[in-house]
Formats: sequence, structure tokens, C-alpha cells
Amino acid sequence: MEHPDSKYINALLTNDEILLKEIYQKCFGKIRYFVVNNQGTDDDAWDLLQEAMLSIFYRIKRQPFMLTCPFDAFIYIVCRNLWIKELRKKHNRGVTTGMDEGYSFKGEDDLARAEECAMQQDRRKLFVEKLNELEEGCRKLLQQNWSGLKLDEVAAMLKISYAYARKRKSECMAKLVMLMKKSPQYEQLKW
Amino acid sequence: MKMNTEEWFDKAIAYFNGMMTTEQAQLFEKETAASEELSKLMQTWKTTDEEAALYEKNRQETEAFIYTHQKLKSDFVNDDVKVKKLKYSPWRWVAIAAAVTGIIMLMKIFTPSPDKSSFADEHKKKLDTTHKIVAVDSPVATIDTQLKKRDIQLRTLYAQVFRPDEVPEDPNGPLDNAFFYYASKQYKKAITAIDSAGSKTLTRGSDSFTPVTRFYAVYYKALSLLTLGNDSGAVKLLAQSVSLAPSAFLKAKAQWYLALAYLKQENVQTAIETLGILIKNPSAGDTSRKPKSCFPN
Repeated sequence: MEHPDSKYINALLTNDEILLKEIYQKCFGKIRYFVVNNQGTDDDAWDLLQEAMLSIFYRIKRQPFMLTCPFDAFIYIVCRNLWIKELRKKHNRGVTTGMDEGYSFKGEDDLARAEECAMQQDRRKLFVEKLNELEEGCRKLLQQNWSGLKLDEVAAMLKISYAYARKRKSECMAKLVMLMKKSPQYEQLKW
Repeated sequence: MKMNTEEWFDKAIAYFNGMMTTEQAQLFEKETAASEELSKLMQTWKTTDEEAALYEKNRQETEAFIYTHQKLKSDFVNDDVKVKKLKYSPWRWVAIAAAVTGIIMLMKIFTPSPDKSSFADEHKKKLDTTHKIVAVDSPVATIDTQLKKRDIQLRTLYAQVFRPDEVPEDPNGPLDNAFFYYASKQYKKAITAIDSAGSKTLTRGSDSFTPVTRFYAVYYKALSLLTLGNDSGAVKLLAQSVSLAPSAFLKAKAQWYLALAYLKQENVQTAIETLGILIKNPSAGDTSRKPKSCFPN
């Protein structure tokens, strides 16, 4: 059964400032405690919350899901997963957990989804980092195609043939995937 | 023979470009599926293409959300509000307590005390009426100046050593809201949250308030009152928290702040006595039992 906190998911999708503020009032204190107690600052906590919210936004856009636990619990777990990965990447140090025990989850689904959101966000970070390493021509072609333009439209815009645009897209994707594969984070990510 | 990754990328370009025949494409898929590494590459390619399209298509919406999120930041993150990390060991604040005691003792020696100097006391009472006509260098004026100087010294000393204690390392539990407000320096709200947690506990039964939580409720309420300037309320609750403390270390913390509250009330003798008890407390410096949050900065 859908949780009443699903309204916060809609708030995220519709950018509803009042409801966003309401959910932040519920969850930010705990996120801040967790981050500050684990080598972070208030600013880190705020940025982490943004990242977690975005990861949920993309997860819903990719595959809508029904929330069955309180939203603050869900976002806390996403934040915790993201921060643990961040710390491992930076320092390879342990993390002081202990606060998530206060939340109860009815099933494994929410935990798995929270993990998935964090994983997707990690993939996104790696992708953005490596996309910026591509030459401008490649980057432009890929971004225009991803933004919703069909390849023949992109070809027309770039004044190249459709066949060349197709070939070029595959080559650019190959370069991008190669760069991602070379990154140390690649092996830790699920695809 | 197994394909290496370089060969795979060459073939993948043709595969995704639609340049392979059906048979070639099926063979490529079969070869890819046979290797865990190549399967992962194939999945990376597809997922990246799919998710990247998602990011690009929703770029405006995410930018709008980021704008709102950053706009709300000032409501939640105040640059002045930082939960500070441990900077002082228990041994160090026992040393501070000793130093504070020493300073107060010196102040007592070198300035006349209103409770010991009957001369000063007697003349101080007259000050209200005589102050305006007494010459600046007369004995009464000198004593008055010294008394004022000592008051200023006491207030300065209090301001120098008083810092509200940090919240516990694990703030989860019935007082979590109160800890949030306390850490955010919203002391009035912290007091309300503590009272509210207390009344909820009464209605639910006492099972959710452990001895530690009970101590924290009284202790943090006292510290909030002290910070807000309600010294007498703070003294009462700190004295109560000393008796409620479930460990010697927590007791020492309560004694420290109780001494500071007395100091703020200018009850110098009792402040010294309380600090004396704290210095003699053998467990105050026991780092093996210390909570992580600690004393003044």
C-alpha cells in the first residue's frame, strides 16, 4: 500500500518548495548528524541531501515506484549509502552508523530501492566526469542525441550525413565507456 | 577464441551502428554473453546511453530543483551552527577546572569579598545614596571600584570558559528533536522539545526513557536555560542532573556546568567547592569511559 509520504515524491517531481521544506525539516537533522559525525560538515550534509533527492528524482523518472515507508527514512538511507561510498573513495575509512536503526522498513523493497538510487547516482557522477573528458565534437553529438533529438536531426544540425552521425555516435560511446572502464570506481558499480 | 576488450569495442561500434548482419550481431551477442567482463561492458554501454538520455531530457527540471534546494539552504544550514568535534580530553578540562578554581581563588585574595569584608559590605549599602558625592579616590570608592572590577573579572572568566556542551554522539531516541534544536542554538525550542518528550514518555510509560536519556533531558534543559541567562533555573536542574548522572563522567560534566552556573550567579564560594569536587573526582579523567562529545572549546 502506498505510503502517505508519497506526496513528497510528487513534491520532488513538481518542485513544490513548501513540501520540500517540510520534508527537509523532518530529515535534515538526522542526515546532518550522520555526516558531521563521519568526517563531514553541514555543507557536505546539504549537498548530500541534494544528491540524494536528485537520485530519487532520476530513479522515479526511469522507473516509477510506490513508496511504502516514511520518506525521511528512505532519504536517510539513500544519503547514508552515498556518504559511505564517498568516504570509502576518499579515505577508505570506516563509518559510524547507528542512527538508521531508528527507522523501520516494512520490507526489503525500500532498502533495495534506496541502494539502487545511490548506485544510479554514483553511475551518474562517473558518467558526467568522463563525458567532460571527451572532445567537444563527441560530447555535443551525444548530448544533442540524448536530449531527445533523433540522429538525423542531429546530423542536419551538425551538417554531417546521417550515416556518419550514426558511426560517430557509436565511436563516441565506445570512447566514453572505455574511459569509464578505466576508472577505479567502475568495478564497484553495478550496471 | 575469447574476444579481448579492444576487439569488443571495435565490434560494438559496428553492432550499435547497425553495420552488422543479423548473423554477425547474434554471434557478437553470444560471445559477449559468454564473458562476465564483456557482459558488463555491454550493460555499461546500454545503461549509460539510457540514463544519459534521462539526464539530458530532465535537465531543466533538475536545474529548477537545485535552485529551490539551494534557496532553502539558509533555513537549514547556518554557517555559525557547526556541531564541533572533540577538542578537549577529560583530563584537559579537569585541568581547566583546576585553573578556573585557581583564578577565582586569586581574585578572592586580591579583591575584597562582599561576604567577608564587613567594611566593604557596610559601605556598599551606602553607595546608592553616597556614590554621587564620594570622591573617586576615597576608600569607599576604591572598594566599590574593586568590587565592580571583580564582578567584571568573574563575568569575563565565565564568558571565557563557558561553551554549551555538544550533543551526544548518538542523538537518536526520544530527545532527537531537542538535540537538533540544541545543536542549532535554538535553545527555547530545545527546552520545549525536551518537555514534550518528557510528557510523551509519561503518556507512553517510562520504557523509552533510559537513565541516560533522563539525565540528558535534565542536563540539556539546564544548559539551554544557562545559555538563555536563566541562571537560577539552570542551577536547580544542574544540581538535579548531578544526582541523576548514570556515570562518573556524566556527573563530572554536570558538576562543571553547575560550577559555571554558580560562577555566573557570583556565588564564588560554591563555585570553588563544586570545582573542588570535580577535580577530586577520580573518574573525571577516565578516557576509557568518556563519551565522545566533550567540553568547552
